[in-house]
Amino acid sequence: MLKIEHVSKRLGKEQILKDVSFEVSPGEVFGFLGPNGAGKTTTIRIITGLLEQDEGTVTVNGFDVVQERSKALTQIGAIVENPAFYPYMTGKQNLVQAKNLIPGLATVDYEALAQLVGLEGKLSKKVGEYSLGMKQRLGIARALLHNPRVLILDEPTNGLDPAGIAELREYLRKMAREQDIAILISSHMLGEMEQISDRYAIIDQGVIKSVESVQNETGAKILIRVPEATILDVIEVLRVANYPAERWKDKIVITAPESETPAIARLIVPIADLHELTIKRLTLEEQFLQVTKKEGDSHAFAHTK
Amino acid sequence: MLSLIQNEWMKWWTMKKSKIVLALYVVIAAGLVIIAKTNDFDFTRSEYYTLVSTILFGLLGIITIVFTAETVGNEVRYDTMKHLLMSPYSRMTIYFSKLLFSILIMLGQFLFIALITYAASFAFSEGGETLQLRDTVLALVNPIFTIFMTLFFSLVFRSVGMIIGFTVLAQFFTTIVGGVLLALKPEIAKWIVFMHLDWSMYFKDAVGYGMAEPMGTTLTFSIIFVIAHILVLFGGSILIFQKKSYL
Repeated sequence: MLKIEHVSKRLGKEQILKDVSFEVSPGEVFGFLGPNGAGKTTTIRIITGLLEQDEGTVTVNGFDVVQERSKALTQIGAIVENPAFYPYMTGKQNLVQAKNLIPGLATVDYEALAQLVGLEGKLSKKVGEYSLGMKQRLGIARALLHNPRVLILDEPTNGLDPAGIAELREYLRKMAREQDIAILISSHMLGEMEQISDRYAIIDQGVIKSVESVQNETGAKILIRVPEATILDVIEVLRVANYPAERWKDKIVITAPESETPAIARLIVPIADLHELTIKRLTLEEQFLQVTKKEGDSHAFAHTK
Repeated sequence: MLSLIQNEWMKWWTMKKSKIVLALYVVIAAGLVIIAKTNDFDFTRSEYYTLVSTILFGLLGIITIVFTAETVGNEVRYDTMKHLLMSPYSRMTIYFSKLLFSILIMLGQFLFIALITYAASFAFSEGGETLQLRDTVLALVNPIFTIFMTLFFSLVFRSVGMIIGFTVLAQFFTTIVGGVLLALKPEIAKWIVFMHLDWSMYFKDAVGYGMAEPMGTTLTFSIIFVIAHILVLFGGSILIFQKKSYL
């Protein structure tokens, strides 16, 4: 659906993006994470046709953003950085403006859109009188106006209260699932992204460091409790099977993908009674720090938990 | 393209100042009728038309700079330029829609002014208004050139104030320099484009007649000279707009 392949971009003397590649599938909510200046916004600008890459390709639903610009951009709905509107116009007039920017878009049910983003009865107000949260909602309504196949949201929870964030989260997940839209969300809010995303990419200094599933495919901690007398034997069996395991108090900690849990259990059961098995998922922030190894830079992110 | 022009119209019409400007034209035209009648000025229709149209078309020149500057400047000011550039329309189409709208809105105001001034002139006794209509149509080249120039500056500068200020100053000072040169060195004055923006100067019965004589220019020279400048401004605008990132 959205495919970024080997994209590089230089601005002046600075190499902003280096060989960036990732893919967002239909029905997937994909988090795009990275500290300030990592290259997130540049990537989004390239996807939305605001900037042209030096190397590589970006395709949207099979259409190249540079070669088939018009067709590609018709498939995209986006909020880039902050949502911008004409403040002296009403919400509806701003949506009409957006509608007129999509060639061939016949009719739009503005009221249904307003209902969808929680702006019922507010479209006749001038945008200058909107709160930041209302502008965010209107921005999302504008991005969805033409039923895009790819939705790109740059910091979409900015200005939303906790209830609004939860509502948006549910709405985005539902939309991705039911309408098969590929959603790319860039955000600093790691805790929030953890709850919204299916997968995520971490970008740092213009390089994609990791593309992972939020389900901790690489970094789950599996804790098991077996009788004291069998602990050393179990650790030995696990190590032979290439599962890093170590004793922690009266338990054994295994670092392995979550999907390996049944296989690990099958190894233990023949030699010891399995009294307890717990999966401790790493938070997205922990995963981020693990990938970037930049513990000192964690202040660049706001964790909502 | 049509939907982009519709958007431009909506942006213009929803601004309070568009209605204020139209009301201002009516107030000035009607106000001068009232002043003339209450003070027993003995205007003919033609004299009234010449006076009021000169004032209002002068005002239109300034208003045209403001509105044209805002068609691009406001997009930068409100950060909405990115939405235009993210749309499936090409930058060339977006520029053309803004150019075309600026010309159309200027022509609309021009007709509005001509209409209300012509209608108000019936308050006075008969005169030869056909002559004045020809001259005002010929003077249209000035606001059209102004639009190309303002659009060029609006792509160079980011703030509406800078665009308006720079356009007005460029026009003002170059016209003054041109006027001085016309008296002292007319052979140099002819190379200043602002000296060629009123083509009525080539008609013997027009108010501005005689200005072209010391410069030794012809109507054809003025037409070619102005078009050449418009092409340079147009080409420069396209080049800047294609390259500028607006980030």
